[in-house]
Amino acid sequence: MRKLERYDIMDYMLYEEKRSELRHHIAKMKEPRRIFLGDQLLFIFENTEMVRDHVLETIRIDKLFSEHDLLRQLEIFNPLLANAGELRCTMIVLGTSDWDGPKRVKPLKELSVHIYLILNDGRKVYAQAPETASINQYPGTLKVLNFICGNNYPVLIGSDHREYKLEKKLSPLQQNALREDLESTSNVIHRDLH
Amino acid sequence: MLKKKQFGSQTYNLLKQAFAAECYAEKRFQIFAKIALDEGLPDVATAFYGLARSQNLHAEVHFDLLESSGELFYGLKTGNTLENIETALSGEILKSDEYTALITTARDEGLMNVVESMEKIAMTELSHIHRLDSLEKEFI
Repeated sequence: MRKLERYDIMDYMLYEEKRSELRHHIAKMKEPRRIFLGDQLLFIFENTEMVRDHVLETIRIDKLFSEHDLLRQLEIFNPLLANAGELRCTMIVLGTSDWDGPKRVKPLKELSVHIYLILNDGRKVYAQAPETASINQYPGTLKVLNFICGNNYPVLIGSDHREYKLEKKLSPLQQNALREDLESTSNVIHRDLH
Repeated sequence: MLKKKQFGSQTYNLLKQAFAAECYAEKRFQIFAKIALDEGLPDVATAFYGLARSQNLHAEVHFDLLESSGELFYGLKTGNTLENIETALSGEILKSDEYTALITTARDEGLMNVVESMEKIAMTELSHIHRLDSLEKEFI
């Protein structure tokens, strides 16, 4: 997936003007890329447009107008974007605590390495948690996961963690969306998968 | 000043509610001020901003009283700046956990617009965590 460049980030005023149209577009784009796996896991597969949305929304919410802050957002969010032949997602471990008595959600130990995709050629690829994503350096409910898929697309997502073992077949819409994201990059760089 | 033994008393509980109410009122007045600005009424906006500041002062009074009674506000301390950066970092991580709880509940109740909104906020927290982490590293 193409990484974001400075020129991808539109001017604040222009974004305000286009925001409602863009939000609608992103919400639709997100639908098939938001995948729940049981009660405890949510995966949001990211692509360039969605990550640009994270950047634009953060700039808007936090009123970040300096060039330095803006470039920092690119540095923070670009690691959410996969390289060619790969898919990257934000994994959110869902909790049940409340605001009156908040406590840290304790994700299952080494959960990330037990998450896998089954590709359309039958291969099983396990997730890796890239260190370039700053959030992966903290224990917590958000993790960025990477899957090396090559020219194949996922048809199923699963976890074989001994305390959370389950699989979910992806719907045709979900498969198509992820295939589209993979194809948007596969012509750019060819990566040796083995 | 509330004494430590008053932690958990009825006064303490009411103060906690009052603190939340003042924070809420401050935000509400700020929103009202923005609406007034959009409607081309800058004087009214200024008045609302002034009221928001007053609510903020009330909230600070409650905060001090609660803190002196031993309230840690979700177990997070207020201290010197380095300690506060660490507290802020822990607070942001804790908050992103709480948002995931909201996502679960909203999903179960079929409120996908709330799910979408909470996902967005959780991603913004990611930026805050990064910023606080950098601040902490610069400071040490």
